Amino acid sequence: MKKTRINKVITVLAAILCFAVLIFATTALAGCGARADTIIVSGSSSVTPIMEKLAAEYEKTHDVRITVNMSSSGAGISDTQNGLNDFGMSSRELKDSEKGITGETLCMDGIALIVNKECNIDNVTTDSVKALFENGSAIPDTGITAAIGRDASSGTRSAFDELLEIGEYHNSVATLAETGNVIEVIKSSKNSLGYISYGSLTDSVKAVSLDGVVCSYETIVSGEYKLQRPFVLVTREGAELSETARGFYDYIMSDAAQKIITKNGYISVKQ
Amino acid sequence: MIDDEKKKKKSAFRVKEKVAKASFALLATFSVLVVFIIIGYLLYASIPAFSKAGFFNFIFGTEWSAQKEVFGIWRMIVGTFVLTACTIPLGGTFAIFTAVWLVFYCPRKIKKIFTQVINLLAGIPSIVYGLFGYKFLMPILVDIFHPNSAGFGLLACTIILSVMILPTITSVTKNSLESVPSQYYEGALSLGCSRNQAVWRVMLPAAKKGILSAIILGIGRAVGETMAVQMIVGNGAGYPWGAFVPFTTLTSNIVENWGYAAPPEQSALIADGFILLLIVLMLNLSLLAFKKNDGGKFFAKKFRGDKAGNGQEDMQKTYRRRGSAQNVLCILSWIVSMFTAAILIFIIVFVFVNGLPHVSFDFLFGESSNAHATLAPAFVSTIMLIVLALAIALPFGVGAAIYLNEYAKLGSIFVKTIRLFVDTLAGIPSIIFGLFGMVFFVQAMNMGYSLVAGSFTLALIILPTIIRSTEQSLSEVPDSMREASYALGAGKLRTVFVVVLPRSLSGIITAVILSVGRIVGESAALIFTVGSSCTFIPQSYADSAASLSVLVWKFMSNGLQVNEAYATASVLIIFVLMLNLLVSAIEWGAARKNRREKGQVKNNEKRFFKTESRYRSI
Repeated sequence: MKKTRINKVITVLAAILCFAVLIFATTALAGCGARADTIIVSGSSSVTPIMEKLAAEYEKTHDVRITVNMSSSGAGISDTQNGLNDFGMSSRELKDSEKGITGETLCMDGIALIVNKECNIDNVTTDSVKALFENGSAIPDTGITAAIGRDASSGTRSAFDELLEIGEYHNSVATLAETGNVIEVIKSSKNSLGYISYGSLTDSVKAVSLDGVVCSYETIVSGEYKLQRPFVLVTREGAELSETARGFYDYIMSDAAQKIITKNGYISVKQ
Repeated sequence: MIDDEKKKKKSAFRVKEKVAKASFALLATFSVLVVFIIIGYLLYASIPAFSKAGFFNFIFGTEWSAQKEVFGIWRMIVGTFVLTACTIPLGGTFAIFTAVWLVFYCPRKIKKIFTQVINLLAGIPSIVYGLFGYKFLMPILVDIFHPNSAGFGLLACTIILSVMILPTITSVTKNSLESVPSQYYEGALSLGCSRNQAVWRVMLPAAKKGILSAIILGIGRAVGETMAVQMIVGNGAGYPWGAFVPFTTLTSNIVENWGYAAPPEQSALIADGFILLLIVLMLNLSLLAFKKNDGGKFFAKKFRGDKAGNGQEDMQKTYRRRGSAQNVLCILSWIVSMFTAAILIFIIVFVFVNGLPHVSFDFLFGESSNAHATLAPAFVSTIMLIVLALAIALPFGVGAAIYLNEYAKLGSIFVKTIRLFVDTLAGIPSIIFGLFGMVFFVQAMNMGYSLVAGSFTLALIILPTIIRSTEQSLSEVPDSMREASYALGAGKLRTVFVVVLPRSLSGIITAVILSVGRIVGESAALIFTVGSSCTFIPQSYADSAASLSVLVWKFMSNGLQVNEAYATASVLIIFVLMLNLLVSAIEWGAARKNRREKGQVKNNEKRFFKTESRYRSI
């Protein structure tokens, strides 16, 4: 008798599982009817955090669904060229070789050099950073022996490399996709130096000064801190934005949105 | 008149049977077709890269630069080979010790539990291993060795990958150890061997063939592993000469660069995947060669050597004296297996401790928006993927299994070919499926990044699991049932559907659950076909979305949501735990049912335990 009961229990369990799956599937499919207008924005992982905040704000007052696909500046640009999004995000100036698109600057952003919080280091020089990335040579007297870079298509990387005139990375440099990975590695590694968007800087890591200039909102605004680059919104040349997307785009460029941008540590270009 | 009608009926019946047989055969050939389409399509898509650089330059070129449009994968090939070469000795040794322990030394009471441990290790999503290596292993290694890097590189990768291939090698080795006739063991004991000597000098060599194929399967797994490796390999521009030098493998190169590759680089990345596929196919073929080889040779040689007779008595004496080595091995196997179990517990505890505090009802099922990301959309999209993938793969899989077990002549070339291709399909790494899904479903069939493209891709991935598992349970249905059915006048088709299939239902359900586990843990293939962002509940199968596993990766990468990454990983592990328990419950239930139906429960149970404990009692 006992065995039959066990079998029954198993049958019932299996039935419940199937039923649950069915219910979920039907509810998922039932949603098809009421489709809100959607906007797809894709590109740079440095721009993504502020874009998500702006999207959240915009959704409060408008009935739209904004999907922010995080990848990289290069991807955002090629998505825009191929018409895969409404508009793209880039964390660097567009290159001349990138055809068929136009960019508009959203705001300025610094590139912070970050180390572990326990590191006993506050300042690095341009030359030592350059040597670290190009030759893998340790920064003297600091205990910093490893460099964490970004992938080849990162806007932060191209801006960083260009501003510090860094050529090819040394073999010992790890290159990671996405800003978050760099923060995570620095959080747990006391001998590494990495670079991230100033707006993504959190308390979990420490930003060091470059050539004696602190990385802060003021120094970026004044231009004293030289590691800075624009966040660019990328649209397709000759193609009109859809009405919904145009609404969001205009909102991003509005004063209200620029206030949010400033509040989050980026430098508005409209002020 | 009556005769005529009968004839008509008979011929209609025959036509029906023939149609059924043909359609089952068609379903079975599907997997052959899939393998060819994958190879063909990837080759087709990588031709631009090959023709631009030249095949030779592509393979042996050392520079990969999207800006200069120069693509050479020699670095990645070396990276993959070195990593595999380091992983197999470590992971393989651990796995074989664990398997021996599990079969010969494991106390009966915990045997089932330990089998679960191995299954769980296999079931933990690769992305969770990556998270563990990234957040736990790398910092520890840096603390111990103080290298000039953040811990990326060969050492961390080897350790994580060894754990990941362990379940594959262990379970195949275990199966082959269990299929060595117990007479070998008894014979060794009666010749005066100690228990440990019998295990290590007789049983283990006797299972040599199985162990070799286990290791080849392990190599396949190591070569194809993507997400975990990608997270801890560091993707440096160098070669893996040194424990802490970041390097690149064939798989990590694809994931690292695909997201933003322009067409020339895309083709190069597909070509990278094609080379990977070639390596895996070659491994599969070598497996086939092993199967053909007579595994008994090893033993035969030994005995022949003995017969040649160089003082047999002496030999026996030294053999006896040498027993202490085997005793050490026995102790080692205990240590290794306990260590394996400890690793599993440790990974689970690590993820739970970091993740469970952040799991809340709101995080799981709350309404999701850009301001407040929850898992609800990922749940829905994961379930949508499961439903459609199963709906596609189940008919094909079960149909193929029915053909292989019910219709095909045993050992015919056709059957052998299909089996070979099913095995090949099972051995293809998910990143290859991802690439194929990307170029075929997403681009060529114009589905875009969508749940439907992901479901099709997943259906291909789970197809071999379903075919094998269903076939297994079909073959366990006793022939007497079929004979009885024929005797009562039922045709083949009717017998299959009314008699055989219901009996093997538990096996099919197991196949379904295993597939669900595979889908839940899948990440590489989905990033390429479905997308990686999931803020809103998908409204149709045409939408882009992300499954739970992919979301772990996404949370991890954007840097501001690490807690959410851990929490999602905990949810995944709980899911996998539940699925594993469900599988064992069903298997257990089915076993009991079978025994009861034989009407000899008590008798059988006794015999069952006797066999189980045969290695202990003597």
